[in-house]
Amino acid sequence: MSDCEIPDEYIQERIQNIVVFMCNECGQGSANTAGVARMSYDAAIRIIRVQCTGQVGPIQIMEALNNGADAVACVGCCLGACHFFNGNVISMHRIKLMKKLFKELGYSDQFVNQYTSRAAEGETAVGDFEDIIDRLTTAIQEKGTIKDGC
Amino acid sequence: MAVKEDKMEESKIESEDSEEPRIGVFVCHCGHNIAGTVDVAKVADYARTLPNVIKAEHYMFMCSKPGVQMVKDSIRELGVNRTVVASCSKNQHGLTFAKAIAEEGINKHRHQQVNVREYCSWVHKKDETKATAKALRLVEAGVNRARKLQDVETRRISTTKAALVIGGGIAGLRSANDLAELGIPVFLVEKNSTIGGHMTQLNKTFPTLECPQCSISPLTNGVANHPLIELYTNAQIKSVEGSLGNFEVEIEINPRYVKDNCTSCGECSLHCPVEVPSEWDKGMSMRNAIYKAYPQAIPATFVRDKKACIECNTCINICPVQAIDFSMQPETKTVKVGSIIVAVGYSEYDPTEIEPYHYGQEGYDDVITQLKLERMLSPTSLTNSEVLRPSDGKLPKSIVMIQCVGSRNDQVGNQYCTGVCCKFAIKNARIVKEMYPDTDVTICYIDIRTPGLNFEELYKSAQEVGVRFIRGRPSEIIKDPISGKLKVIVEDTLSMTPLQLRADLVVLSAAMVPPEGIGPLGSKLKVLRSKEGFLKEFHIKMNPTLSSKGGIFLAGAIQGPKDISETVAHAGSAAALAAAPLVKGYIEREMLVPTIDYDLCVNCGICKTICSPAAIDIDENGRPTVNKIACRSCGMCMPSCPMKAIQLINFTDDQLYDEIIAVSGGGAVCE
Repeated sequence: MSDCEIPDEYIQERIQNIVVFMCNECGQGSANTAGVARMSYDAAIRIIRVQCTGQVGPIQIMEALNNGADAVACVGCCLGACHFFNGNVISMHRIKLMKKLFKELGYSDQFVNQYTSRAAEGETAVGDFEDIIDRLTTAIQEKGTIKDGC
Repeated sequence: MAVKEDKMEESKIESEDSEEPRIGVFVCHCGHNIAGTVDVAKVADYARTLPNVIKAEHYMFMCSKPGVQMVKDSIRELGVNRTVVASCSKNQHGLTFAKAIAEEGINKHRHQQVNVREYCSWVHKKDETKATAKALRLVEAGVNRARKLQDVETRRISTTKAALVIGGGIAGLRSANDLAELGIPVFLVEKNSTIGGHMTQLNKTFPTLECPQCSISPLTNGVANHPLIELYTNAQIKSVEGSLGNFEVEIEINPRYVKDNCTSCGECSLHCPVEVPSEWDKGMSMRNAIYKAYPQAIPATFVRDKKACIECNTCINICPVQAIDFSMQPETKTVKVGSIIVAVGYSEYDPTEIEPYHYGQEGYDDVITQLKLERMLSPTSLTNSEVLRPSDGKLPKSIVMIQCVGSRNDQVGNQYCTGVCCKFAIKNARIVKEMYPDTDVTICYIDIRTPGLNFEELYKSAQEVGVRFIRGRPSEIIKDPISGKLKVIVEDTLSMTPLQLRADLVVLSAAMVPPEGIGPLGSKLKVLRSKEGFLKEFHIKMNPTLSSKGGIFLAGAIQGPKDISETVAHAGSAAALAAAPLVKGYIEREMLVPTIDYDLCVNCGICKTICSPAAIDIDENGRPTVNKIACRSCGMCMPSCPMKAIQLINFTDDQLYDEIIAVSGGGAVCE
C-alpha cells in the first residue's frame, strides 16, 4: 500500500473507533484530569476501564480489533509506579509480542500500543491519544491495519 | 471449609443466572456540562431500545437528592436490579449511586457508572454529533457490562493482635517500641547477639555531632525491658505462612550457651584463650570466643561463639554463677502475628571488587572504609579515639577520602546515589581535621550532595576548618615501590589538572547495599525486590512503607538507603500502618477476587508466577488456589492463563467482551 498516496481525508474518515484500555489508577486519573481541564482530543477515542493494564491480554485486543476497532492501546501508570507493582511492564511485554505478531502477519505494528500517563497531568493522557492517532495514520499509510486486509 | 465456600459460590452464581437482568439507565444533564454537548434525550431513547433495559430516563442532576431518589424508586417500583448511570467519573459520584442501591438492598457492585462527562462531553465540545454518537456507544457498553454484573460480598476478617519485627537496628527498635506503646504485643527477631544495629558502631551522628550511643540507649533499654516486647536474639526467620492479618511465623533461635542468670562480670571472657577479630568493631579489635560485642551491649548476657570455641571449659569452671551451659540446643518457636515489619537494614558495600583501589589486598592495610574510621574514632576503640595507620600504628599526615565507592557506579552495577556518604565523609573529615590540624584531609568527590536542613552548614564548616575538596573520581590507588607510600591518582576536573595525592590513610566512602541474606528472607516472605536488591515498596510516593504483599511493611534502609532521621520517620510510619488493622481488630475486604474453574485448569502454575502479591498458592493436589485476603484484584492472572480458567469477578473475559463489542461498534471484521 505504500506505493500510492493516501489522501488525508480518507484517513480522517477511516479513524472512527479507537479502543483504549485504561487502568483504574493513573490511566483513569489522567483522563479525568484531562476532562476537568477541558482539553480536547479526537472523539474516536473510547475508553474501557480495567483494573490494571496487566489485565488486558491478547484476547481482549483481538476482540476489539475484530469488532471494528481501528487501533487498540493500553494506558497504565508510569514505569516503576504501577499500583499493582509490575502490571504495566507485563502489559508492555505483551504488546511488544503482539506488535511482533502483526509484523510477521504482514501488517503494520503501529496500531497496537502501550502508553503510560500520570494521574495529575491530563496532558500525558491527551499526548498519548494524539500519539495513538499519529501512529494509526502511519500504519494506514504504510502496511495497513488488520481492517485493511482479512 | 474451603470446599464449603466454593459450593456456596457456585450456588450463588446459578441463582444469579436464573434471575432476569432488569436494567435501569439514567442519563445526567449535569446542568449544561453534558446536555450542552450530548443529546441526552437521544441517548435515553436509544438506551430504552437495548435488551433488558426496563427504564431509561434523563434528568438535570442525577447526583442531587431527587436524582438519587429516581434510582431508588426504579428499584422499588419496577424491580430494577442493575443500574447504569451515565454522568461523571466513577471516582466522583460512582459511590453515591452504589450506596443508594445498597440502601435498597441491592449489592453495590451491581451499579455501573458510565463516564460521559470527563470522557465525552468535556473533551469533545466542538463536535456535538460525534460526542452524541460516542455517548451512545459508551452507554451501550455500560448496559452490556451491567447485564452480567455479579454480587461481590464484603468479608470481615479478624486479625491477630500481635506483630513481628525482623531486625533490631534503629528502624526495628523504633517500630517495635511504637507498636508496643499502642498496646500490641511484639516479637522482635535479631540475627546478631545484640540489638542496636549499625547505629551503635558510629562515633558521632551528623549534622549535630551527637553521640549515637546516648541517642539510642533509651530505645534499646526501653525495648529490652518493655513488658509487651519479646526479644529473640541470635534468631532468624524459618518460614512464613498466611496473609494479611493472620501470619504464622516460625523463628529459629540459636542458643547463647549462657543462661539468663549471667551477671556480665566478664570473668569468662578474661580467661578465654581464643581471640578472633570482632565483627562489631569491623575487625579493628579482637574478641574472645565467649564475649559481649561491646560493653554497653543489650542484652548484657555474654554469648559463646561455637565456631571459634575450642571447648577448653575454662569459662564453665570460672563462672561464679554457673551460667555457662554448652549443652543448650537451638529451638524453634512458632508465633501468630497480624502484621510483619521488615527492618533488616543494610550492609556496607565491600569494595574488594573495585580492583584499582586494592581494598583488602596485602600491603594495602591503610585503605579502610568509613565504618572502620568511625570505629577508630569512637570513644571505646582500641586506639583510644586516635586515628592511627593500621599498617604501622603511626599518625597519618595526610588522609584522602574517596566518595561514591560502590554507588553511582555502573561498573559494579549500582546506579543509585546512597545519599548519606557525602554527609558522613564531611562529618568525619571535619572531626579528624579538628583533632589534628596539621593533617591534610582531602575529599575526592563527584558531586557533593548535602540537601536538607543543617547539612549545607556542615559542609561549609568543614571547608572552614580546612578540609580540601577535589572534584574527581580517583582512578587508582598506587603504592610507591621505593618509599612504600600510597598515592591516589585523580584528575581535578574543575581545573583540569591530573594530581597524585600522597596519602598515609585512604578512606573509602562505601555505599549502602542490601544486607546479606536478604534473598532467602525475601523469598520466605514472598515480597518483591527492586533491581538494586532492596525490598520494593508498594508505591514510591503514596505508600513507601508497605511491601508488595499486604500486611508486610518495610522500615528503614531495607527499602533504600536512608540516614538515621529518615529511618526513624520511616519506621514510625511502618508501625502506624502495621498497627491500624490490629488495633481495629478486623479488616474489611471486598471479595473482588478471581475464581478458578478447575474443570478447565491444567495446573500449569503460570498464574502463581505472575501474581505480584503472591496470592496464588499451589495446594497439596497441585492445584492453584486463590488466597482471597492477599489478593489485590489487579486481574493480571487472567491473560496469563492459557485455558481461561482463572477469571476476576466482574472483570471476566465474557464481561469485558460485551463491553468491547459495544465500544468498538459491533460489526465483526473476520468471522
